[in-house]
Amino acid sequence: MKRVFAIFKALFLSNLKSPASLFWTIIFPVMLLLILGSIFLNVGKSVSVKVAVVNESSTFKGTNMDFASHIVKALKDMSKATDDKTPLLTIESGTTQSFLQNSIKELKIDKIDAVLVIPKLFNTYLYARALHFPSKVKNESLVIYTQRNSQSSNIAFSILDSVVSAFNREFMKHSGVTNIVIPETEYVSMGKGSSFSYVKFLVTGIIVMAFMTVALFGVTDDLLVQREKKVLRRIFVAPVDRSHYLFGMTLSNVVLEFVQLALILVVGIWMGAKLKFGPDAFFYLLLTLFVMMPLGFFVASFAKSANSGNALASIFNFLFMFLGGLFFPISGVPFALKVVAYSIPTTYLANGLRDSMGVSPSPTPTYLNILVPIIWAVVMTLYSIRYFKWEV
Amino acid sequence: MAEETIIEVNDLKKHYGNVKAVDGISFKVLKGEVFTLLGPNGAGKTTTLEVLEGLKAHDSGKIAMFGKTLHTTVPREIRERIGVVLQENNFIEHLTVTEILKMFRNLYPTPLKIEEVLEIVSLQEKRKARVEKLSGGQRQRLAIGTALIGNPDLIFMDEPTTGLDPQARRNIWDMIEKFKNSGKTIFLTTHYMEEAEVLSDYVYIMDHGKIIAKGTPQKLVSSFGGDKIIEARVNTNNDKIIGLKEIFSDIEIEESKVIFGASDLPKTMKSFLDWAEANSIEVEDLSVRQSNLEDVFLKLTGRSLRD
Ligand SMILES: Nc1ncnc2c1ncn2[C@@H]1O[C@H](COP(=O)(O)OP(=O)(O)O)[C@@H](O)[C@H]1O
Ligand SMILES: [Mg+2]
Repeated sequence: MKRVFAIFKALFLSNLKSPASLFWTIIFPVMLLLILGSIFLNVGKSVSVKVAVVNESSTFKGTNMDFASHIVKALKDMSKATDDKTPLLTIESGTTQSFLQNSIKELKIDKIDAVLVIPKLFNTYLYARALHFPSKVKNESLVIYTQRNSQSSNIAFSILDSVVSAFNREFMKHSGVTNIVIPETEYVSMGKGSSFSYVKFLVTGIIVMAFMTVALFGVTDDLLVQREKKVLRRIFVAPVDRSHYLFGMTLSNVVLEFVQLALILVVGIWMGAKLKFGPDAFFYLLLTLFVMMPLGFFVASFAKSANSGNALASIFNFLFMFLGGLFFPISGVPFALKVVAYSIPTTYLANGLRDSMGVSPSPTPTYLNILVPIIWAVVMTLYSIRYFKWEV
Repeated sequence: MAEETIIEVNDLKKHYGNVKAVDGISFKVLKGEVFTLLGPNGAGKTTTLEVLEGLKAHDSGKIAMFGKTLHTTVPREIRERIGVVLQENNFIEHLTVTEILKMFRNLYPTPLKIEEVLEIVSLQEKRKARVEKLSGGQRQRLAIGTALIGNPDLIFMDEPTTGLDPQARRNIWDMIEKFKNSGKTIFLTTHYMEEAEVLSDYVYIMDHGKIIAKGTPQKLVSSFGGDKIIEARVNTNNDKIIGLKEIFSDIEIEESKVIFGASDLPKTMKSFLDWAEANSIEVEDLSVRQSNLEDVFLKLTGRSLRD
């Protein structure tokens, strides 16, 4: 144990003092998180919401008592682009019952973000209120349909609400009546993609990437470079067994991964990623850690020299990073690439981790998320045991 | 004092395909002595050490170390008593001298103090220097420090002074003397005859995987080289020089240089000069010196140690 710890300390210290290793294992993942995260945040700001307006109002049409048409017009004005800026919202409008049904259906599948319904006797109702008719007239208020827990639905609601408030203010000025239109809110369903946030998606992807980078480059460095430089020979003529070195080296890389994890989470949370931490999340973090390590062993066993090891590690890194969908969802890639994507471990690890941390439900079943990475780990470990050479 | 055997090797063989790197060598290393394998590049010195250090498995032969017979590996209890300076010494990058020594120190059961080792290898001023900033001589001293820190009984040193300047070489010779005086056994390999002569109690001369001569440096020199050596440079072609071989049995010819042993110096000198005059050959350079291990090797193999 003392020997394992001596090796661990030396290798870990060497890592901490190496500018290259510090950059790639600590700074790079955080940088990537900040860069990709901020690109998205800017994209997010110009995203507009989609609203359907169903104007069923049929009284006072074509007169200056047609209050409903004022509201529709106000919304339509907002949907016009000004100064090259993307308009805040796009609008579909209709008057029929079937348009209403259709709009609600679209709302349920996230195609639009809110539906505003202006009832049949809206104008009559307002007219009666303005003339201070006793409350015999049935309340004919506006209805706004939204999805619960959906970010964009919330935005759409507040836009509609502010338009209605503005209308109220105008109306009050002329009639002296307060609080005329209080829109009713109806929720059609829990938003499906509602809690999806790219920052969360990105943070979890970068955790997988960071673990992979340490395993691929850290392990190859500790095995291939040290072997090539004959550091291993020197250590093994001391009273150190190979298992001592293996454990010390693995420990050094695992500790490095924990440092990375902490850093990524801190930056991620600062960027607004609210992640869940249940036992299943810890399970997937540990799984990722342990199945990535054999990848490094494999590279170290397959490659003859430190140089070719580095090249091979880069190929794995690149492939597993992009096809694993660590930064962007892989839905848009051609079929051939999809086949690759669904055979590599990072895809499943990222799916499992995202599912367990409440980022997005896994498109692949849980048993595959666990099984596929473990199969990779076992195969690579067996290969390494068979083919790794301590001596060159 | 009874002589204690630290290493005993019998008919050791290690082949790489057709290359007979070590081809049936036998030797004994006694406690407290400096034991030297002297031989040119490729003689098989490093391979012999690698087998003894447990880095390579041997093909056949018997090895006993500290009274225990070794099979394929060198057990940890034995490695705890051994210090090793490899032919090529590198360290984990970015660490300082002290950090490297600390790591090795933690691998041994009864190590020396870091301060003590820094002093022995004169690296006190470099203790905070990163290993990649050390000069060749300093690196070599650090390597010796790592071999020493476990307080070993036996130290293997594979060509410890190769590539160093004369001053650095002498420093290391002094260190080896001190280790010997403190009762440690040193197993040295070298291709510098001077090093072997100055340091060794016992020398085995190795060539092409075989031991071709052995003995104390003095004995080797007197039994193979004669007492005095005459070296001369003549300006003529080889055909004529060949004639010298008929006069002197004990002669080596390297291009225009002739080297021959002289047990009776005046007589030999006279016959050489007579031969030169008779053949009207101009002698450009003539010197007489004590014979050394280089002459022994030349005599045995017809080649020089430093080809
Ligand atoms: N790993 C190896 N594979 C093949 N041949 C080797 C290997 N190591 C050494 N040799 C060969 O064995 C011979 C002895 O080498 P070595 O023990 O290094 O000699 P020395 O240390 O005396 O210079 C040389 O011919 C060398 O080329
Ligand atoms: Mg050698």
